[in-house]
Amino acid sequence: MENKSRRVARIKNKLFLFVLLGVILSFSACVSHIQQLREAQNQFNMAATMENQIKLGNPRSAIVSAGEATVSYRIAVKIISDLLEKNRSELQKDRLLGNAYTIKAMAEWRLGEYDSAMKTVSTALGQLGLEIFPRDRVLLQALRGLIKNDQAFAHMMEKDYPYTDIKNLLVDSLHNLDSALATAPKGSRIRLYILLSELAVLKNWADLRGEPGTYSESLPADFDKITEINEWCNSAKPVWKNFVEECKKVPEGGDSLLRDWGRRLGMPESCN
Amino acid sequence: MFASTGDLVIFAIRAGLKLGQQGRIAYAEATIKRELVLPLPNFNPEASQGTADGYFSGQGKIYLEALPRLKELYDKSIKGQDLSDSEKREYVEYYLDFKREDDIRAGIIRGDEIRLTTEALLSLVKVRQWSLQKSPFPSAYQRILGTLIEVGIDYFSRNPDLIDSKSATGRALLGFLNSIDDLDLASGEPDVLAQKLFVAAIESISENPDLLGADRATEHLVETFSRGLVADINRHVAKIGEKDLTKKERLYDWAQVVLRSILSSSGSVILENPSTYLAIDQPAQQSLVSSVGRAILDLLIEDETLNLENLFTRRAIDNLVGAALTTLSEYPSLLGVDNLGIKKILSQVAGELASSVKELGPDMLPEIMRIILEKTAVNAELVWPDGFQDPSKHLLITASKELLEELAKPPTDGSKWKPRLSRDQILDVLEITLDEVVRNPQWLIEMADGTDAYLGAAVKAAINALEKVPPNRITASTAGAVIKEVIRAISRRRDFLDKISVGEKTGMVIELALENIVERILSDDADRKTRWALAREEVFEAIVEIVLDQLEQTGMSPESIQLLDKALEKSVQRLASGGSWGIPEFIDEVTLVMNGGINGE
Repeated sequence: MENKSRRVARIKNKLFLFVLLGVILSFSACVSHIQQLREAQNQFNMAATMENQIKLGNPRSAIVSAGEATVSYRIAVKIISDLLEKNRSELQKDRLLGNAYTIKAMAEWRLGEYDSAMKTVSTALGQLGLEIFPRDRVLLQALRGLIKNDQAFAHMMEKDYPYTDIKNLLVDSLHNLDSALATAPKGSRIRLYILLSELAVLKNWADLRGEPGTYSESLPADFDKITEINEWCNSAKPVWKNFVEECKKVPEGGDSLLRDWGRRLGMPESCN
Repeated sequence: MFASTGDLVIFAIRAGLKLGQQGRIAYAEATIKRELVLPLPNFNPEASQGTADGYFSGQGKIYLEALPRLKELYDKSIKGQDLSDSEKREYVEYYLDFKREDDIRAGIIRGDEIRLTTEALLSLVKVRQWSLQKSPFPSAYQRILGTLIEVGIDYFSRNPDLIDSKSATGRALLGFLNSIDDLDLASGEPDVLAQKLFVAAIESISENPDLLGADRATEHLVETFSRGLVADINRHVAKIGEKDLTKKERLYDWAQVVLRSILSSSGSVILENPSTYLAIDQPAQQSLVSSVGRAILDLLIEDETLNLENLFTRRAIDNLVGAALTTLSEYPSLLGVDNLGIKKILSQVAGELASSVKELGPDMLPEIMRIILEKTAVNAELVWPDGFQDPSKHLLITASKELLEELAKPPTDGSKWKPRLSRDQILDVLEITLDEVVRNPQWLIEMADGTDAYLGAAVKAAINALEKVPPNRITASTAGAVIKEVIRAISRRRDFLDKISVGEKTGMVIELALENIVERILSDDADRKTRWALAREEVFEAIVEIVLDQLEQTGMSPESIQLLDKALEKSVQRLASGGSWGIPEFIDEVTLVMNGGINGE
């Protein structure tokens, strides 16, 4: 009786050890690519946080942060590029490929490598059978508009492009972001992000029409500010309406967002 | 239980692997679900002059009257005058003050609201893959639990003595586990450009079955053209670089339209000219079609003045491609690949006519291009006499410019109106004018006094006379018909442009003749009954035609003009006094008076 119970205990111990061994072996050997992707996510999040801090008026040290952000985006791109080269099938098997493409495309956008970003988007969206989850899909679709906004902003800063061409970029950017918004699931926070991006585009447009001589190299002969403001309002009104609705769903901070962006854009008074 | 310790070990390893596999899946899913901090696109977060402009043009308008200084700044800004840096600051400060007051009144600023820190604002752009409650993945705990159940089922299925896997409980358990594995969210989209071009090719070829029905040469042609188009696209893409995604997208769209257009036109024009386009052993000729594609794509993409992309419809492109291919088929070696004749013509037309068509209606430009290309095909050596090198020497472009500039000029001083011809009327006049230029290029040689070319002078004379018509007496269509008649008359007799003096008036014969007609028939002094009858479109046009014909026969002397006036006066008086009037009687009357006068009767 004593021998039998000792034998059962030994078997139980063996069983536990083998199960544990199997778990450890199979787990640690198979997740290094996931760990690397998580590191890329970390780098991306770090860079985005620094960038947003600068944009939202809390520049810890704007120049250093901008430089650090660039380095972190670059690391994120490098990690994912390596992963895509060496561990593509594992990423696909773990349904992480879509997320990897999304982070890569977003980081390339922030690095100003727009062609690469669009290529990455095209590769991701063009792959039959590739699983892309909701937030990532919306982001991939929004990138076209986000890039156009930044191209317009760069031209404004350089003052190297005609007014009409910059405006075309901004208007197109809004259209693209609208399309992305239409695919964003109701109630998801990604809607707020797309709307904030649309407001940023509208802010650029307001700056451009406000000081066309400062931000563009040439004006159309029939340029008229009042006409431009009316056109701006036609685009701004629906965005603002959606934004107000979305802010109501943010229990803490919705009011603050509304107030800040209202002040930035002169909304809703500008279009009343 | 187990047959041996080996069985036990194998089972344990399998179970461990399964658990490990599920752990990996849970880890991967946690990675998918992780929050991403999303960077905002580039913008200037501070309120700006543009913000203030919008506010004071909208609801903030009410503050302008109360503050003259603010109104001054607003007016200056809205008129596009530059504000100094201090003025900008002042203007924006005004805006921020009033906006703050508005926000307080609207309850947006209450004093007790939560002021978010930047960190809190940043947290709003941390976005999960799904909302917390909506993740389709089981939690890691659920997944491991599920695996344990699966392992358990495996275990029990090996040991049916312990549990019956066919039991209701076992089946339910298995069914549940299987259903989890069936979740699949796969989807995808084909590449943008390849898809667009492919669809365009498929549709166009299916709409034009003759195209590929011909022979291998046609297939080769399509291939060559498509390759050329892709090369052109690549060239433009490289040029645009990473600075304008909108332009790139438009390039793709236009490439699609041009491909459709060329393939559609191929069915008619190319197959009608097989020796030009389908010489499979002559690569240069194969590339001719590509040169049309390139010319049109370049025109649309490289234009920076007219926003041509908005002016060209699919139909306009079709017409232009058809005209270009026809012109090329007449002069393949001269207008074709290396000489870039088609491209030179189109670019020159866009550049030379930009300001006139902006005034008259930019949407007519594609048609003007088509007309010029078609007329070029009639006699290219004559209308482009410098051997197809310098497009500024293309007579039809010069003629179009002369004509359109005159039509686009504002009314001369003192004139109450100027005939505003419609798009179709202008194109009609242009077509007739270019026909006359093709027949006789001398039209564009400068007059002896060096002021105008004959064509410009002719159009100016007609318009000057028409400007003397009081507003709303004739339609634009009649005005167009008069201009056409003048051009036809001058093409027959150049001395219509000779300057003469009649009484106190000095001017060109054509001008004085038209003025007489206008004064006798349409002026405020003319009898109202007469005006009613003679100002009708077809009647007035006939009178102009008859008068000019008669002048041609009797000569362009001052005496002829005086006799013409007399004939008109007589005819008008008869009508005013209730006499009969018809075109044949008018012809007789004019002939009689003028011939009689000239012959001394």
